[in-house]
Amino acid sequence: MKYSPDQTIFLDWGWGQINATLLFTWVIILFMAGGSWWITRRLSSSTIISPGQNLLEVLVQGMVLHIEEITHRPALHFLPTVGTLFLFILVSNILGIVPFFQPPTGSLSTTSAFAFLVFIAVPAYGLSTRSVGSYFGQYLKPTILMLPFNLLGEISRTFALAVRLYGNIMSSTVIGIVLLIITPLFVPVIMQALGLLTGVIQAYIFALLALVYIASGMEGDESA
Amino acid sequence: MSIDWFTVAAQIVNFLILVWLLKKFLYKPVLSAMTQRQEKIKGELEQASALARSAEKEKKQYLALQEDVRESGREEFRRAHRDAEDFREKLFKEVRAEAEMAHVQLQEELGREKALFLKQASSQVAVQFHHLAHNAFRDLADENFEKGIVARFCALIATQDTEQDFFHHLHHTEKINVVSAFSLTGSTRDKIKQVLWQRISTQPEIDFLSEPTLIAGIVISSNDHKLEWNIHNYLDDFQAELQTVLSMDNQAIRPKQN
Repeated sequence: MKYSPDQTIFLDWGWGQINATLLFTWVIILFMAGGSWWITRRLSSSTIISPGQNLLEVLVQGMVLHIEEITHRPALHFLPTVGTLFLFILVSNILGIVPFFQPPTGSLSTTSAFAFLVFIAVPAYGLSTRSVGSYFGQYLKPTILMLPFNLLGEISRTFALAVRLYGNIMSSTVIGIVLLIITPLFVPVIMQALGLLTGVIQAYIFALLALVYIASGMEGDESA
Repeated sequence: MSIDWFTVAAQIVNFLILVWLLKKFLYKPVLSAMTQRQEKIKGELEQASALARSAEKEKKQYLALQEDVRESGREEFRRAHRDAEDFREKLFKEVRAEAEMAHVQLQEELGREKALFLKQASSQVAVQFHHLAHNAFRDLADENFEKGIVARFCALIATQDTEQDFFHHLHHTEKINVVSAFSLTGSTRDKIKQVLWQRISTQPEIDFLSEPTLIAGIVISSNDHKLEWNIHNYLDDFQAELQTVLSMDNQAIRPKQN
């Protein structure tokens, strides 16, 4: 049994391989970028808009409000990073119910990549509002003895971020496959629906935590 | 459960590409459309607010205009009332003037009628008096009234100290008219002639004329000079008395005036 789409390999050059994770990621990228282009190519600024535009506006406006509520800063700063994280994970998890589609978020490589991006984004955003001394000084507080623990906390939360998403999506997929083998009718549907709910919640949790980490890195003396 | 580092790197690149794509095709256009709509709605709200302010201003102007019109109407009414009062006063004055004029005309007419009445009454009284006197003399005293008049007239002429100026004037005249209300007999005429010639010491021509309108008495005239011997003086007194009586009656019946 394959637990990760990384294990489904289409091309292998030795130093690298095109696996299902990358393939479905491109599919998702094409779907999202193409869908966005398709809907936004004829946007209307009037009060009467198409259902597609309405959906996109609800999504974007919802994310903007959430971001501003959590960070108390202009959302445009964070929207491309956090919003794309949320939308990618959301679409990936939702498409997981499509037969033969393997969500890239079920790959530890993908979740690690996203967690790494968050790990990089936190100091990047933090240094955009704080000095280097101020930012890195927070790891020495309340005492220099806390430096290892703070660094460990930073790494562990990144690791937890990656593993949490991976674990949830992978487990949903595996459970679905197992149930499909044991009881092919009805029960897998219920589990798929549950998996869909879990996927949406996980997308929200991942994006929310990423936003909280980034925002806390910008918050002066407050430690993350 | 293993991590493929090539896949990790590829996913990082994929994610960055997706960020760029979504920024270009999703966030920017959608946010731009929302901002435009927000601006549009804001503009429409401002326009509506401006319209509301304009409407409020126009409402105030309309109310002010309405008040002006109302005030103008009241002023017109007051002016019309004043004009009506003036016109009424003018009419009242005109009517009063006309009434006074009519009153004056009536008074004048009344005066003329009174004068005519007095004249006619006097004339009638004289005629009746003459008849009465003629008949009374004849029936009660067996005397001729006209004869008595002539006798008394002759006696008057014969008296030297009466009417000296008149008779002095007759000295130089050549013709004398003797007019009587009744016809004179020949002897009466001769008697008058004798008395006259004796008084003026000359003998001018004397014509005897009969004039019934004299009613009673005799008139001697020459040129512009005249000597009357009749009841006209009594009639004048009578007219004066009657006029006094009528005036007293008029005052008694005249209505009270404010």
